[in-house]
Amino acid sequence: MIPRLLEPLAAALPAAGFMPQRASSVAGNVDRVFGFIFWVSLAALVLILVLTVVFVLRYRVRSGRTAPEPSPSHHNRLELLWSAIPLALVMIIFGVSTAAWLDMIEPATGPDPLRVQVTGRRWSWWFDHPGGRGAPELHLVAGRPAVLTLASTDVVHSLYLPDFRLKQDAVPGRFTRMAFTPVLAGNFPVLCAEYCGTDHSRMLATAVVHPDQASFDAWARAGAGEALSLSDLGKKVLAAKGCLACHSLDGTPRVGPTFKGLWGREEKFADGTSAKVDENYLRESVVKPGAKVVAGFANLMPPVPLEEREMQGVVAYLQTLGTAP
Amino acid sequence: MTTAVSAAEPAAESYLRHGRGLRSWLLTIDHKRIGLMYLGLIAFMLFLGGIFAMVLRMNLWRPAGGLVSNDTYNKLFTLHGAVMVFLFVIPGIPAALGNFVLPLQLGAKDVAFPRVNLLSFWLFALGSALFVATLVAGGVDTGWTLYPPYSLEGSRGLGILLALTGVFVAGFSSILTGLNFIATIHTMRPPGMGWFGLPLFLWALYATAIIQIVATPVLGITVALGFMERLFHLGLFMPEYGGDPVLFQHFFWFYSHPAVYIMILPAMGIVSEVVSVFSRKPIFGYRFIAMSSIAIAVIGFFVWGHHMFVSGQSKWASVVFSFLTMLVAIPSAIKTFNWLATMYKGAIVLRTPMIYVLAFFAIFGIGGLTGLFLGSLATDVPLHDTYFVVAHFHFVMVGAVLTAFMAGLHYWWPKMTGRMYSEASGRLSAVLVLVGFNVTFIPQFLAGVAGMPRRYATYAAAFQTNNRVSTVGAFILAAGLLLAASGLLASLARGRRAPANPWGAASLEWSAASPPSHHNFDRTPTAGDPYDFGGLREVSAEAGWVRAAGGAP
Amino acid sequence: MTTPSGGEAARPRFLAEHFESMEAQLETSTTGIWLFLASEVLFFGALFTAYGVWRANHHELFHYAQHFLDWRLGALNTLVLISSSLSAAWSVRCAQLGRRRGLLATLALTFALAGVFLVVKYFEYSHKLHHGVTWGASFHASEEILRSLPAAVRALPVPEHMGTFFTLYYLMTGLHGIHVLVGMGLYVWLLRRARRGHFGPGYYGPVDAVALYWHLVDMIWIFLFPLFYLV
Repeated sequence: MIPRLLEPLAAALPAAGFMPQRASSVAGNVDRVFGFIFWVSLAALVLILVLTVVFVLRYRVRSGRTAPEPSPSHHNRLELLWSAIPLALVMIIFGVSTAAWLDMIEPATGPDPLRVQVTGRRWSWWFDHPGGRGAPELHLVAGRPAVLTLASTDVVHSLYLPDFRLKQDAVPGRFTRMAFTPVLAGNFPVLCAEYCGTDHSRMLATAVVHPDQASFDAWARAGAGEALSLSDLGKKVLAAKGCLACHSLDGTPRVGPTFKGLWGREEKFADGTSAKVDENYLRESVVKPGAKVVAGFANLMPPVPLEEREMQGVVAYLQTLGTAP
Repeated sequence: MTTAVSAAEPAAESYLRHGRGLRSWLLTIDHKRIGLMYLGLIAFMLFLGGIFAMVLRMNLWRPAGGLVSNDTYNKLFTLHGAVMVFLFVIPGIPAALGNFVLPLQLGAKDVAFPRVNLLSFWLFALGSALFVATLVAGGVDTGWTLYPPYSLEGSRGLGILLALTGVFVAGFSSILTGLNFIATIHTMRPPGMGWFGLPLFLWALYATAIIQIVATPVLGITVALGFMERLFHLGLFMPEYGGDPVLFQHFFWFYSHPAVYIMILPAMGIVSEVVSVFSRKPIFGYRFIAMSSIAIAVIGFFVWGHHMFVSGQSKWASVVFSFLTMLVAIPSAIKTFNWLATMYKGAIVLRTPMIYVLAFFAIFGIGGLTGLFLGSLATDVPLHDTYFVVAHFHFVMVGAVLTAFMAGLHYWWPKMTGRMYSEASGRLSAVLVLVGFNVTFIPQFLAGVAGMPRRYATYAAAFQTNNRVSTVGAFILAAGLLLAASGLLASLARGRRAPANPWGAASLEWSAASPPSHHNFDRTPTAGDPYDFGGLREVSAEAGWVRAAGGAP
Repeated sequence: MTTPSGGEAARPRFLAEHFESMEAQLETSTTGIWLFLASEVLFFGALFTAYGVWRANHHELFHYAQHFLDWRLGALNTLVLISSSLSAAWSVRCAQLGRRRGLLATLALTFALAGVFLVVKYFEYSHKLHHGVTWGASFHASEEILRSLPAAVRALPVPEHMGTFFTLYYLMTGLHGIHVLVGMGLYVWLLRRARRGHFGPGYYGPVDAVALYWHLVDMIWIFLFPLFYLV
């Protein structure tokens, strides 16, 4: 809301033509905050430079002016003033920017966001879309909220979408997340922003934003079925690793909690704490089952070593088993 | 003996002649000689890091690169960063200029622990040698930030171990220097010099030393743990052994962010000295400036998380780190306005050190203000790890520190060597550095805003103009620095003899001869106000300035 | 060497050139040693943080691995170090009062107790190394040592990353051990100087400084002991 008032500042940026397009729901706000900081700091810089130049011209030693004029050696009220004004300005910047950021990192995604599993590896990206279509480019739908889950199979990467004003690290051994709504249809660059070795600068991809769902579906159908989809892979992994012996799919509690409706559920643990089931909780429960034991169950499960892709499959499959209300 | 006499009769028994032969230098415990040895080594490191930078810039002339391979490019920017950060900007002002000036400004004969000081120098030399040795071992391509898992992968050999050891050893040198400075300032102030009678350069060194002592051990342990992780699979930072790579980032920035203040605080100290002397006016708001150094040192410890806004750290941690980062702007603003107020109604003399300080105002202004974009959460997300960050930290860590270092070097050069350099080449070098610096780095801000990530050996064609302008700027900058170096070196052979007090400064180092004797002062001087220029008058360019009251023959 | 003037014959023997008086020199060296200790605390502090993070991540491992350490030996060493600290403090007192024999005795005692500490540590280390209780991937506990664990512990499966616990153990106790060794070297140096009669009420800075260092080494052990052997 507040950032909207700042739009004229952003529009008047000298670099406005220089900036990438505003292709996501968050880009406008980011630019407005940018514009605000830009004009505030430009004013401060001009003040400093003008004072410097004026003082040098007026007070430099020359014939007829060899000694300083009397002036105070300190002035507490003045000094407090030029502490207080910058303080007020940076606090306003902090407030505006933080408000914009909080909206930005946890946007309302609606009941049915487009969920994409992003995997970074040296030196390319891989995007698993719903409906089983995996691709080296990211496909989204204009106007439909998207939730990207990021993982890395080797080193730290960072998914950077300049036109969306978004960036998020992909860290091995954990999931990170990026949520937004694309607003422009078209093709946009995708880059890696965290240094990852030889071809870091060539770890590029394209984000294809389809104008509507139908266009996306047509694309997704065309290539589906070539390989196992992530959630089908997850289903096979659960069967093959014997998970289903202790975790039911139909809601009956067995030795362990049921998988039905697990995604998004608020789990209560034996130690009294609780947490909402998300991708990182699921990862931890597989790798370190003893770390959070659900109340009412015994700590019996052994750690299950999974490949990164199997792990992503399990997470994708469990999401299809219904969400807690 | 009087000031006037010692001014007219320099270097009879100067520290430069006290003891001859290589041994008398390499094993000296004289803070002045140690300072000079640091200066030599650090200047060499600046040169080395600069050569790396020029190769990088030339490779970026074309979008597809091609001058060197991607791997070589990656190794070069790693070494450029590591050499410049650990071996030039961090030790630059405190170890080289600080070592020389600190005891002199206190009217003392030496630092508190002269042998520790020598040990510190040799540790630094050893650390530098280890870095250079990584070149022989095939180089390291981890980036100076050494983020795991990339930096600690099993395929890495000797190079990374040498680099980690180098950081560890150089870190100890830094701790020992900090320890020495604090002990010296605490216990060796001359009679009559209270805490608020210290020259502001010493306040800055004091605040710096606190950071050195508190933060550097953490860096030491971090690289030691990295070493262990690589060799023994400790399982602390590497996910494949059960560790967390983000933990390393916390450890690393807990040191490396305060390290930025290790760099900039002494630079601010020099600016405070020079701006006052060359405005011929007491520094405006001494206490605010002194206290803002301490404030920066303290707040600077709690902002490291602003390097990790997109690493997946918790939401509220990011908000707190952003808030604290914004607060650091205040002490910097106070200092800037106080410096400007010092010039107000002064009698400004545009000698070389002062021109470098004016360049500092512009560069530090831009560097500090662009920090706001990165400390603010919403704008940091797109700008993080782009050329905007590269430009920002070069403005602060390089531009501001380098101009202040050059200001300090030109300011104390007559005291160190007993020679006056050519003003013409000094002034021209300052202008070239200012112009070259801005031409190099302003286009990088624009490239960053437009979305060019850092550490890219190749880039999209759209950024070609930015990169070409930047490369041209780098050559101007290099020319400015080489001109400054040649001007200073030429002064050793041809320079006029420097009087004890060529600038009319009031702090104690200017009451010693130029260059000072082995013991600095024949009699412990009594401290006055370091910014009281009242009684000083210029006898002649050859004899320099003397205090009118007292000390007359 | 040139001294500024020969007139000041009363200049004390151990007053360094750049100090005005023994008091100033003592004050400076005390400030310096405290600063050094502060950086040491931060150095170990970072290690303790690493320990804390690892422990939080691998709770079960720490409960299991701790049974490989003999708390009785740890406790014995704690007692040894506390006694040595007492004797170090006593040595400072002796130096200040100029009691030369007392000084020599307490310095020697401190040195000897430090030696005892290292001998006990040697037996602990060699026992573990002999049974394959080593760092990192090379960890391979022998059957014999596994049988010696309490029955309740034996029933549990051997957790993953055992080697990592012991990397931390060897790293932290080893670094502490190096500090003990350095301390022993310093006490030899003090003993030699004390035998020559260097110390007395007018000059006891080195004894004081080394004792302060020794107390810190002692204190670090007092943290290490419960964290590894007891918790």
